Amino acid sequence: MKRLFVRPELCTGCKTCEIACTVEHSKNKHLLGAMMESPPPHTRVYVEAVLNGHFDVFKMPMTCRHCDPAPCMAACIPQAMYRTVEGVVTNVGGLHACIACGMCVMMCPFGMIARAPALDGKVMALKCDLCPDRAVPACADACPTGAILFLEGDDFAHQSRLRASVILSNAKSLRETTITQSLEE
Amino acid sequence: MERSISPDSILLLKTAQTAGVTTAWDRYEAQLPQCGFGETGLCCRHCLQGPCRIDPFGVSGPKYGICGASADVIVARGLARSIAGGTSSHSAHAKHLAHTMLKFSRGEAPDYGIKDKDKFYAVLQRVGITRDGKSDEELAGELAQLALDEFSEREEPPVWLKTTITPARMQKFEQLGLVPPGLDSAVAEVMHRTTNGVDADAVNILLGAIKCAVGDYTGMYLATDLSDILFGTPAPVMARANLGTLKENAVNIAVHGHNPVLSEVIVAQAELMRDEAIAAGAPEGINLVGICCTGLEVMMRHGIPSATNSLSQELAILTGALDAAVVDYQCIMPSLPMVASHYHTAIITTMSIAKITGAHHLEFDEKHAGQKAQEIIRLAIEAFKKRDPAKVNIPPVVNDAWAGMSAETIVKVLALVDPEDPLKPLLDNIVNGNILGVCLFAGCNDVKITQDKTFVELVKALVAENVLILCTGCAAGSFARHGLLTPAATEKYAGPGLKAVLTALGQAAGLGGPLPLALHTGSCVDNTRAASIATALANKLGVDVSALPVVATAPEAAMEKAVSIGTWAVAMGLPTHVGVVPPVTGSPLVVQVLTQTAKDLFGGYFIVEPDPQTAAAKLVAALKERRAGLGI
Repeated sequence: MKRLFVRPELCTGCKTCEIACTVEHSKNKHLLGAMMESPPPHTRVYVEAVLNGHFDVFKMPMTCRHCDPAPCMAACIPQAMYRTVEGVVTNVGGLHACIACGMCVMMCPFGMIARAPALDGKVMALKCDLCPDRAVPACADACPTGAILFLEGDDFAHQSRLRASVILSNAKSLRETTITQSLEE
Repeated sequence: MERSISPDSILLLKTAQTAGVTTAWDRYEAQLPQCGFGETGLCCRHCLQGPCRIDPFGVSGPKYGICGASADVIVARGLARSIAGGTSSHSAHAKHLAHTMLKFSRGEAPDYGIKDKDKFYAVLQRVGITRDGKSDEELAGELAQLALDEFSEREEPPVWLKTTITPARMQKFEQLGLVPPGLDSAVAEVMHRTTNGVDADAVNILLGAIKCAVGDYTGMYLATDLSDILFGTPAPVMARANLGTLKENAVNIAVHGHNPVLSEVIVAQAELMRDEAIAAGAPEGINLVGICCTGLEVMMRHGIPSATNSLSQELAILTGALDAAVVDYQCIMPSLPMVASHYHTAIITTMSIAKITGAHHLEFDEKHAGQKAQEIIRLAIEAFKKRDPAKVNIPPVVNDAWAGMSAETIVKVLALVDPEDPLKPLLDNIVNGNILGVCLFAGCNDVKITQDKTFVELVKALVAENVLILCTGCAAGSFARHGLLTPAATEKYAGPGLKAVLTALGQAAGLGGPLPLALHTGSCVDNTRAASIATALANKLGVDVSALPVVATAPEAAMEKAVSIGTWAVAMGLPTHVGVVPPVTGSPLVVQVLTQTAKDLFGGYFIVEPDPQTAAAKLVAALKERRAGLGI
């Protein structure tokens, strides 16, 4: 299954992902309309900042990992939180209703679940559903720098390996130069 | 990260936390992370097709805006517009003074006059207005009109430019096409050439921006001249600083903003209304304090204490003892009424172009200045009656601060050593190495870095290397807050050469000790006072300013005004340090022009360095390079 992956080194902290996610999870599905809605629609992706010092802010896009096993599912007393056949962990469209008890909010190790009014005004646990109406989730689609990616796990790892390989190939040529030099000496 | 190293700020930030009052520091944290496109200058909103953003990593995102503008063009356009913003601010300030002078000349501003006739006649002579037995009112009318004409477009170069810089610099500006045809038209030109589909050459845009900044210099020079004529040229005055200058037993009124047109009249009227305040239950009468540059204007002319400055303005309300903040314009936080809603403080806006929702607006006009000032003070006295004594929490922090070191004052002090040739003692001590060079400290506080930390650490490092320090605006406010505008600070921190010079001058001036460690040269609009000293030195030596061991720094810059000032400082030939990273890093070309190419063109260039010790080393190296160039 494709998942959301993050390359924090490419995040500029513009929060376009938060806006796109909020709009996708609104009634109107466009920014102007979404801004007028009551209750206001809610994001399910977050960009957090770690202030390390002057001009050193680490920017981290935080997305749901759709864990397996998922602590939120395990903690859901009414069993509203479930895993779809596609592997998406969600409390929408299941057999049981969310009762907004907040157990999943407490159990999520990444803090990816909000307890807030849904579009119908009913308070419930709101979390990433990987945008079932879209081919690519809104956050990954909107990210202007490619910091959030929607890929198969193997493909993401492959891309990481390729980048690392480029670095290693540079190191290799450096190493060869060094060896040649030392032999010449 | 610490929020401030100023003890009064630290105490009141704790109060804010306990009382649940939100300040600029909290709002900054709520903004984090800030958008990287904005941080790097790579977001363009100059047309309705945008916003366009360039991928700063150049990985997979766009390299061009919809119109085809590159990262270089977008960054240069953004910088140019921020310089236009800064220039507009100083120009508006200057025009306000010119209009006041014009009204005075027509008998329509009875509360104003010519306070410093020497400066008045000197300026008339410099700008080429002959006296011919005309009355002061007539001459003031002519001067004000000439000043206002500077802002429109004409064929002649601006008078306040060509008469105040070295001939070599003027020639350079003419050669490079950097003489603005008028000060407002310089701003309009930047707005035009940075709109969609006009200038798309980053270097050309930067030159246009520098032309605008030259206009900024001109407007600032003009503003300082007119202020001195109307309100007096600052002379040395001992004042005090920090929020401990608020008094429990007085009606505390803060004048805040930038222009002395209103605050001068408040100072005069407050004296007359002392009994009203006492009758309202304030045994110590009215206690005026200053915030930001309006505060520095009345500090250097009347010794009014400087309570705090731009970044920490909200904290004055948190003392629970501020009865009114009377504001004009620039650097006034829209949050003031929100903070004041937790207390009794009246926030009084006074300018038609600068209202704040939630504040009390009492429109000021020069014709009824005295009467308006009285109404404002009465509002403060009314607010005082509502003060909750349980909330009063004045931090016990007060520092002495010498102010009023205008260019004229500095020359007068030097003349005590050598009446024939006042600049000689300064030059001699630069040549013999007692003074390594001169550094002008200017600029703001910036919420992104610990308040005052870079100011204080940088100045201590520079004076240890015998650098003579001038300071303006929030730099002066910061030094005042930390007791650095005192002879005691000279004893403690100055290097041996600098200490010897400041002691000799202080004794000649009859202070019985050294001059203060840093010379408070004025508010932020007064940076041309320092430029005028540099120009006088250069003219005396027959060189250009770019040859002199003179540098500038805005270690904690925040506002567009600081960007325009920094840019003209570079254009005038000064190596200019900035301690925060401006939104230009998205374009390596723009960074290179500002930090390297500028040196070939102007002699001046930007040094961006957040670390105070490294910055000090770089500024000292720049001064030594200049000294080597002069063969000293």
